[in-house]
Amino acid sequence: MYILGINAYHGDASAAIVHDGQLVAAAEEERFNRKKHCAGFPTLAIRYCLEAAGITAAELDHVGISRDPSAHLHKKILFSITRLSGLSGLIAARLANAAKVRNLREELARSLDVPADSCRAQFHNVEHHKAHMASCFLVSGFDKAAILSIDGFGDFISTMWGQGEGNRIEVLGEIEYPHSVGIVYTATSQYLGFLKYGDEGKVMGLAPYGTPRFLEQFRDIVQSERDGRFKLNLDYFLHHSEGVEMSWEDGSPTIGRIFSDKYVETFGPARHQGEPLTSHYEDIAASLQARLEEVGFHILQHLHQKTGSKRLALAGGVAFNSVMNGKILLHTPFEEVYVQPAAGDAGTALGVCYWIENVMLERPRRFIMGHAYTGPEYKNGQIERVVGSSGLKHRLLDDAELTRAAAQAIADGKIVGWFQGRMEFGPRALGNRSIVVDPRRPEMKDILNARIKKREPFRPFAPSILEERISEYFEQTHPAPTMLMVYQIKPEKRAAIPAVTHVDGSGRLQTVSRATNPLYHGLISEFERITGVPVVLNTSFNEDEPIVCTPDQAMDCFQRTRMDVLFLGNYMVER
Amino acid sequence: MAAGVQATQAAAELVRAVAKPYAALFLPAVLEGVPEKQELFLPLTLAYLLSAHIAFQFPLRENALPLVERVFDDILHGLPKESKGICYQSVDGLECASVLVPHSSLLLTDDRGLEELAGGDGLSAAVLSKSEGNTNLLRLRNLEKIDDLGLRGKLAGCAQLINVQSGGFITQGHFSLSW
Repeated sequence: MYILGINAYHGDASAAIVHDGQLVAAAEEERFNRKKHCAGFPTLAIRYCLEAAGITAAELDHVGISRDPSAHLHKKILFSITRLSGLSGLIAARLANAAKVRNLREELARSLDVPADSCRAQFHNVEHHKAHMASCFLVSGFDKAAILSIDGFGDFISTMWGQGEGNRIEVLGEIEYPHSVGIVYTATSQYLGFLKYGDEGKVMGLAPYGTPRFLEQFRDIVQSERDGRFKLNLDYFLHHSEGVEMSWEDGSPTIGRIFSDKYVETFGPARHQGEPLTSHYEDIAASLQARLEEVGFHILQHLHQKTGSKRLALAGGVAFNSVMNGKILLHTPFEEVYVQPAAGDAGTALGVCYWIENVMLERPRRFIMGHAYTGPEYKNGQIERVVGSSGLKHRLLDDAELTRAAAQAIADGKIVGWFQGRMEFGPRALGNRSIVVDPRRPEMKDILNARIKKREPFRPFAPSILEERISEYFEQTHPAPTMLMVYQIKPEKRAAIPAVTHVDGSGRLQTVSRATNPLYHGLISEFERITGVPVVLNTSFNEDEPIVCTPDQAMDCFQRTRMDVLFLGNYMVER
Repeated sequence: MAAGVQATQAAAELVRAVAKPYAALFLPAVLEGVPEKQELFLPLTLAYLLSAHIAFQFPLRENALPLVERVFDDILHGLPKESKGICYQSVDGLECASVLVPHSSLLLTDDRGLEELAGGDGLSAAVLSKSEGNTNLLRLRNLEKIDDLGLRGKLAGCAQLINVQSGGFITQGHFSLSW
């Protein structure tokens, strides 16, 4: 049985395909069409999934999308009519003019260039947060766990929590529009001059530079309530009253201003893009982050009380807040946390597949997502054409030679492009589409930024560490294979890896196991053999663009930037 | 007296007792048994919203009343109670309830059969239905016969919202309406 899951008309459009309970492929559309956070219909990702499964659309049994427009419909109607401009014909006219409505079956047929009636599959709408919950719990390997899905909004809900057991998911609570901690983070990011979709991570990186002296103000903005609930002080926002213009049409999503003038009254003038990041703005970022953590732990304490579980499955855009994630084990009773690598909206395509497979069809769970390597891969034969036509010096190595040569180049202070195996699903490069450098050299951060990444100087770079060596370098030892946890680096080790030690002594680590990525594990092991340090700096293989997907894109990025060496499959390419 | 005659008399009594003008909320599910809670949210929400302009008569079986009350509690939680009233009429079944329909100024229903009847009789009606893929639709009949422009506008707005929201995926426009 083949099930295709789709996230469309939402940020990070994506597709995933499952065959008889096993995940065959999953990928974001942006990797193929090269539009960051692409929010249209994932035509190319679907084509890739079908190709990876070796089938045509006619052979699909089920197709699902992680949106259910009918979900909570009465609440949408109530909200619109009782709170937005008194309605009458006004909103109706606005809707008629502005809304562009798409039909899933027709869109799928159009995108695959087949007649709509050629697809015999059953079509399903899966509510957004239920898809999130499925995307983490059903592939976590936990028999029973508490589940939290937390993001901006989806199907009128911003936060949903519940309990999973076997192939059942029970919703225990939810927070409705217009209340959302995700929207607070987005609004504050906008206020701080970070306007692009997905810029919230930059604010998280800025927070450790400040002190949370505006925490009380943020406690007024997001107010805790009983039973794990919270509400927003809506005076600070526009999305619930005047509305905010947005577009999820093809290309990167855009959202208009969300914060109201009350932000300016409270915190002073908003920072414009490119203006200096003063300590005032750093303190605002620190206060936001502190409040997010308080609210997150407030929900999780309640969730633990309700479920009694020590295991937590976490998803939603806010689950990309790796600083909060890293503190969950310190501030709540949970002892194990599973964060699926594509925890944001892209991962809902995966969730749709397993919601259909396990919950709707009641088929037993038989898949654990132990890694993120679900995208396209290219054999050396395919790569040979790319390196051959590049005109660059290259040679073919076996795996042992490859890891040795790459480790030596890193130890020598070179910037290494590392393109291997299947592309990662989710926003993090986890050793298959990575740029790897020496973390011992404090200057590497500036060199990387000057030569390739062009990132804001306050943003940290991340360490990949051998899983078995984590206790030597980090204060916490819970595995973090998807780079979605920030832990404190042991004080005595910070000087050893300065390029990946953030200003507050933390690091957003990736633990690398031999079982899930033997080649990358081999590379870090070789680096340790040469240097005595089982850690490398790992950043995504891209230059202000989506992470590279194909060998051609990797070669193009290599030639466009000032990377020193490229390991493309088993080929070592030098300038 | 035969049961049929009794029912007819009760129905006539019901129509006489009801103040006019009124809107009729006619949901076969609450006249035939106890429906699923989910089935009631949309029609009861619409009835509440429209009741700001016109009082509703809502025939239902007694055993459906607790569920209806619970759904209204959920819907009205935290909302201003702007309503001319929704009056429950305890009836024995469909036949008795249907006498309220021809005398109503507006019929709100999810009964497709009544939609045709309303169309034929020139009755103003708002009819909820499900299309392929289980999406909700609200169709309006003889809207022009409603004199109250506020009610007419709200009906048009509700129909637009429901039909756009549930019929597919909004990809651009107003953030607050896309969620």
